[in-house]
Amino acid sequence: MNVYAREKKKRGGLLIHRYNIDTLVIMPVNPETFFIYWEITKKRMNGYRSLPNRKRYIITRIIDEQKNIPIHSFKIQEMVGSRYVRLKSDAQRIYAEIGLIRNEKFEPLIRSRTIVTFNVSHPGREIWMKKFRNKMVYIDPPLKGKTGAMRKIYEHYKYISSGYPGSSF
Amino acid sequence: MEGRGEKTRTKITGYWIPVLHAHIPFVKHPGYDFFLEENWLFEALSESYIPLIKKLKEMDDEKIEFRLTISLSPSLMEMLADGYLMDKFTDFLEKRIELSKKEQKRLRKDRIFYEIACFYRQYYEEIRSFFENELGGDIIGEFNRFFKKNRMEIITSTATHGLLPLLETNPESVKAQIEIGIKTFVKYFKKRPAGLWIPECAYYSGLDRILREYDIEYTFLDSHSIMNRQSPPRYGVYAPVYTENGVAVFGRDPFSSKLVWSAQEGYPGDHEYREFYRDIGFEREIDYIRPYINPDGARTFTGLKYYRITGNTERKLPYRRERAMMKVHEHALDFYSGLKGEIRRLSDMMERPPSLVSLYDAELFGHWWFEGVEFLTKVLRMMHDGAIIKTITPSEYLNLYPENQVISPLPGSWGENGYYETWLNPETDWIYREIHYMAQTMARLVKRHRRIRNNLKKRILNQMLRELLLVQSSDWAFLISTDSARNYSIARLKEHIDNFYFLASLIDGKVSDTERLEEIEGKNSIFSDIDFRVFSE
Repeated sequence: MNVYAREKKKRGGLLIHRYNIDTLVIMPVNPETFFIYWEITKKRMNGYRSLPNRKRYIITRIIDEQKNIPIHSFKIQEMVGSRYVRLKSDAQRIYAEIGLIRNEKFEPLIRSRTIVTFNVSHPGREIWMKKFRNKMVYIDPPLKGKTGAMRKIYEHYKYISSGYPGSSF
Repeated sequence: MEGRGEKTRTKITGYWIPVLHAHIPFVKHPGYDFFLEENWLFEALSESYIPLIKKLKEMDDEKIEFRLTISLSPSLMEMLADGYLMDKFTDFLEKRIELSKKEQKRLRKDRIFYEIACFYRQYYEEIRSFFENELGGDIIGEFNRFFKKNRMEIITSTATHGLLPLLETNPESVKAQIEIGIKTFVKYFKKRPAGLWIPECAYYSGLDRILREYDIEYTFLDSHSIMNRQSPPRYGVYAPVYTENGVAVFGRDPFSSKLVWSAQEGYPGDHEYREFYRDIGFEREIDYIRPYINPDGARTFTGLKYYRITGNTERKLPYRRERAMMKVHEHALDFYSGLKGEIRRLSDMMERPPSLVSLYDAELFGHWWFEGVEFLTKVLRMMHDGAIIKTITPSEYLNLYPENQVISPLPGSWGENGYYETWLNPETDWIYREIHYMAQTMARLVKRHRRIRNNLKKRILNQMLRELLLVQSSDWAFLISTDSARNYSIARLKEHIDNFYFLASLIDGKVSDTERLEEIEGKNSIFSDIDFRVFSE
């Protein structure tokens, strides 16, 4: 079943609009899954007329923006399509690009916006803030009064939230 | 024994922040005497919002102190202020009263079921009387009265409940959802909201910067967005945290959530409570029930339900109101005692009074869990009478404790599994391609026509933005994913997409059909004072 038929079935008879605009979008689903959809226009592919069976050489890559390295890639056949990608990575900012492999080199065609993943960096030390005259100002963390309290609160939370929908524990 | 009036308290050692999120997607179908999906609003009004207001008003008259935070979604505010829908609501109540009278007659020889029919007649007559005579049909006005008396803190949400992490592809969409959410709040409450409910608690990194731009002081997230494994905050979810941009975030307390939400352990599943799905709309002879269901004969809920949950059996026993009320008292006491226990344990570990933040859909109380309003108000009464724990609003808590730790919340939602798959999955992913392209088109047209003077074109662009906002509602994807109102949701999506491109063709001057424009404006009349220029980065 081609992508149109599959999509048509999924959406109860509605057709995907072909907008004739080069599009590549990557969206987060959960920490290990991303959804990508794209449209490659005829105009864009016309530049590669000389390449026989050019559709065979199109791939989508996902790039770790900070390290500037591809962390995932897959071949695509459809000019309008979508795919769910399972991705285990510690990358914090990623983008996708579609391109052609020619002479063992990747030639980019379309690039998506960068998105922030579920891997968020955290400050290594405690930072505190307070509202002062309608402005937020940084302050020193208050003194820790109760020994081991932080660990106890964390343990308590873990115990209470076990099996809780949405809990990551 | 529950006491009354003000009294001296012992030292407060912790706080409870109950938050109800009230939202119904914008559904309006002029020209139909009966339209099934409009009942979503009418059922929420007659079973949740009005009973809740009625109970809280009684408490207020008795000088019972309470604090409740209510998030009203802008689409709900717009429907509550829509004369056409409110007129239809009174017709809806008339029908329910008429059916319960008919049931009283039919059941006059059956003592047990006759009593239940009498209960429904009295229930709906009281709702009608309260709505018409006490509230004058003005629900928002009554919420505002509680707001002004500091009994309630009312906050807003995004314009049409757009799931922001999935709209982020077009930053204009996120900003328009937030800005129109705030403007709608100001329209009805004449002041800016301190807080904003992020639909489905769906957060992405960077959203706090936009919230700060709009002077939003606080929001709520599910606990796993706060309790990251690497560096959980000092007080966990038991005190608010700030994001780097200074927005306070209150994390959801898992203990009080589980007691109510959990399918296994939650109170609403108790055998004494009313069974939601056994409704006479599906059980009476078709000729008898026809005037109260879909005119085409499709059976639907009528609100008259005669059985209690009973257990995991098809042989349900009759609903006994007095037994259900006894169970409410038992559950309220259990909840209150549980919260006090949590506060005691936590206050031993913390240098300040802990706060337990309970986030619930408002419609859970009354509509889904019929006895829920009685439960909630009973807990509030117990808090008033007791010591140790007191209700508070987020703004009051932040005034008392303005110093808080700074963290970077994790992306997530309060949906199943904690992320976005309820709204983005193989059944629904096609929606986002349409939404994103519509947003691109809108942004392009706004840029081109920013200084336009032609009133007709302004109207067209304003209506285009309404159609875009309506298509962005997270409800359609949710209803498709859960297979609850699948066909209606797909039809609504298709309608707004078609309307949008039809209107775009009017802007381009390819078509001139003002009659259809007027028809669309009349039907999808949300945000009457919208200005399309809001859609910009």
